Amino acid sequence: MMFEIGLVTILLFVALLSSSVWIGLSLFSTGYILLSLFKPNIPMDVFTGGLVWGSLIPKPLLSLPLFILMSEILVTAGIGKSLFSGLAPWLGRLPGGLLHVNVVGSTLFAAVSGSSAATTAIVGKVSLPELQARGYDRKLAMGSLAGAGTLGFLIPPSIIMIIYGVVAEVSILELFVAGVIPGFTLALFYMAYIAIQQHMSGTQPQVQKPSWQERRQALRDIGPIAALIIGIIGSLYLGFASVSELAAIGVLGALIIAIVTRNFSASAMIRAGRRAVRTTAMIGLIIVGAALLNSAFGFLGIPKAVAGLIADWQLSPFMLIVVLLFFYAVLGMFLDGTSIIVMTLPITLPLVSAAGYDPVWFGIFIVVAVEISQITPPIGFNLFVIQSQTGESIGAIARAAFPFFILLLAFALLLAVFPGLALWLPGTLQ
Amino acid sequence: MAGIILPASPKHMPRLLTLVDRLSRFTESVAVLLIFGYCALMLAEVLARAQARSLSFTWEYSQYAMAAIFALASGPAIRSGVHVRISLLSDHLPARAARYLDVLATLAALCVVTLIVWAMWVKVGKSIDRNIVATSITKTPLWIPQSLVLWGFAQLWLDCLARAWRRWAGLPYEWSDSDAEINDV
Repeated sequence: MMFEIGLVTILLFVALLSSSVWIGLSLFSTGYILLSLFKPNIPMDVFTGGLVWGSLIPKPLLSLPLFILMSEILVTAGIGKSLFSGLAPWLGRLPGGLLHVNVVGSTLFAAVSGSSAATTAIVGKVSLPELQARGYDRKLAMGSLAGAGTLGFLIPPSIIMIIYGVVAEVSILELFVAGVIPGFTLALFYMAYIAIQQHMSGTQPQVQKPSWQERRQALRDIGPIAALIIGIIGSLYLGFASVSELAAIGVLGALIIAIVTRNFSASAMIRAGRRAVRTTAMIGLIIVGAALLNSAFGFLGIPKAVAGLIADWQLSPFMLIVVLLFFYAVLGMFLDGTSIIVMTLPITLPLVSAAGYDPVWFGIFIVVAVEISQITPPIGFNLFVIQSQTGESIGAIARAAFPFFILLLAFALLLAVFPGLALWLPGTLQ
Repeated sequence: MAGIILPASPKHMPRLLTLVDRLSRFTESVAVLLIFGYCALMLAEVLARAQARSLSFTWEYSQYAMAAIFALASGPAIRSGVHVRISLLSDHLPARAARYLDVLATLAALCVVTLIVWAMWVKVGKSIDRNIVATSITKTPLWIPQSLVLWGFAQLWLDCLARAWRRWAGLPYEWSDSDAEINDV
């Protein structure tokens, strides 16, 4: 029986996804057909109605649309330009020069955005033309942007962590706090690589030493966004407000920045709202589809069967993590991060928990795995974003991003060897 | 709805497509209102808690608003190409074959959305018949927020139908510029 279920599931996935049916609807129809075929006694209309409604109203999800709205308002307020002008005078003379703007800019924007593709798009829109105009290595500029753009998932607030928290029933606050040290460590890895590469190749263009007046002006450019980031991360850690309340405060902060920087207008805010609700709906459709699919998996006993199969392999906990990393990297070649998490978690989380890993740690690990998928062809969203900005082929951008892919892989294994990297900071919350 | 649109002659289609677009813009506007509205509710709760009080309804109504946003913006998201899909195969097909594959995918989507709309219709009907209310202090009749979700998915159904027609007829099928979309039929 399990063989037939597996075969039907794979055939449905391949047929629906390869024929470009939207992912959320593909997941939904796969779940619906599986239940109709193998559990014909379930009244599907009543069951599905309850499931759709139930999957759209979880309280922990409340922060998701608001963080997306905050990010859209900041984009409308011209944050991309402020990031470059605010960082360039401070980073230009470091080994690696202005290439660090890609990493530090992505780190800062990730801290208010939560989206990897948005981080890549906003930072890249300003930094790539500037870097090219100043003679920086184009390959390294694209690669560092692709790699650093993935920080959007790891540094809080992170949309993908909110989704993981809801599906895995893990505290979103703990996940956010757990992402801080790995996020900043990974950013340092990237910066170190850029500095070493530029030093060894000797291709770093010379820039004039900025005056202190230029540096003060840069601080003024970046000050409001830095204040918002410190406010969000600080409030999270100190527990001043719940994550959802903090998201609402973040929207207010973004509105204030838009007003202060004279980028506020009713029509601009409505545009930001429209973009935010569309992105929210995109995630919502995947959540609805995954809810039915996972429910079907649960009814049909698939997680238990897969767990039994993997138990037969008698893997050590570390090897299990290596296998999962490989599994997610391959899956990430074809699916987006949200879909990967909501589809696989009901199967992989019990496996990992049984092997003794903390669900909060696994949340950070899976986010790093999804980050890898963002720069892996053929479906690497960051690669698409950079392609739209540069016109280069996906292959060329993927080759440019390859050193950062290796860094991400190494970082994921480091996280498995030293789980404290993710778990120490949330441990101090108590 | 299908009875209104499908039998129409092609010369009436532009008007019907315009109507679907206008409805789509309207549902999206409601979603925008709801997202700013529930943000205001959350801020009101923060202010109330700063004064050692709590508003009993903020979280609950915010949850209803969020559920409505997920559904109401779903149609406009398909119209503007925001929903994710894998285009690996269609990207490598000749233009005509890719178009037919897209029509097929959109029709498949239409069938799936029909199931969702039907399921929500049943859910709303049961909530009305059994007078189901929220277990919170507000005792909100649940058919009200559920109807918003039903409305959103019905709009998604219309947007899928309009998309299938546009693709079949070779018309522009996605809003190319979110700011100019009102003029795009």
